[in-house]
Amino acid sequence: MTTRIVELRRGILKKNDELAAGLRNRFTSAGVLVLNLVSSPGTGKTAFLERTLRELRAKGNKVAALVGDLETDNDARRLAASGAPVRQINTHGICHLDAEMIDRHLANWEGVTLPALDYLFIENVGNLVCPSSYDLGEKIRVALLSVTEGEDKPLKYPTLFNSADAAVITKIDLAEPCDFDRTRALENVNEIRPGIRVFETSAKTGAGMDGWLAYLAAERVARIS
Amino acid sequence: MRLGALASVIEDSLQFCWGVTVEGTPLEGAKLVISVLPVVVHCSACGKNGELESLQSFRCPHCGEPASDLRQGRELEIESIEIEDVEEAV
Repeated sequence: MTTRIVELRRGILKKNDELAAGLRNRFTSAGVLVLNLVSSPGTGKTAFLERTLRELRAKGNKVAALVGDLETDNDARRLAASGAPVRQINTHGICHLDAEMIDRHLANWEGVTLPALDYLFIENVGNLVCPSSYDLGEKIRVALLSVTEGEDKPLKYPTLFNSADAAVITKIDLAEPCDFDRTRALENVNEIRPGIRVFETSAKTGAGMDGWLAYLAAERVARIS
Repeated sequence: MRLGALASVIEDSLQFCWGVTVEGTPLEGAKLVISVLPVVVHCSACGKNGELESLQSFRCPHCGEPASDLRQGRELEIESIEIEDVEEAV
């Protein structure tokens, strides 16, 4: 009996990482800024995104969205109310999106081509664990948390918050009735991801949206050129 | 296997699944050896690399400054496979 050791050094998510790198190249050469929105279920990703799409369109931007969900197309229908092209990705039980799903749903998307877009938003499946491991080729990963979830969310889910490029606090119109401790929430975000940009917003009242939209415009110029 | 502390994969769960997966296959009895890698950050303030003791605070363990430059901790990879070749019975 002989023993041999085969050195592999192979990443288990290598296939996804390679696909994502290919997507990132395509997005960059098409001049479209791509964002991946990640949060728990119920944070208000869809409401926030719907308002974002509507306001970007009102400023003359060309936007589209891919939205991941286990089964329904409810979110796609809500987002479509913004007037932007929206495509649903049903994962049928899978708790995150991966690069292959993005690649597949970009193909044959009626009326949408990447070079014609300024922004493409990907709304991930509501989950704060698995999406942190799956690169979708996005330029900016946005972690969202709502004032109703508690200030310690970043401490509970450090793997995700540490992988984010920007953070959005949603539903700030409910901060007072929820006894939301804003200072602690901001401290916690910064403890996990030092220096990250944080936007405090309400999709209902529109609070904080101007700062968010200004950030998007600046990032588009900085990262695409 | 090399498993980073930020890989969202738990060593115990992986070992549990491994046992179930290989049962009744030619791999039954094969051992899964996992090294868990701590998170290593590079500090732009003091210039040193340091291991984080917990995931609750991303600060340089040497000088205490916030540190967001990750150098290790997201690994999820197969390092090597050790195979025993059994001689065919003649």
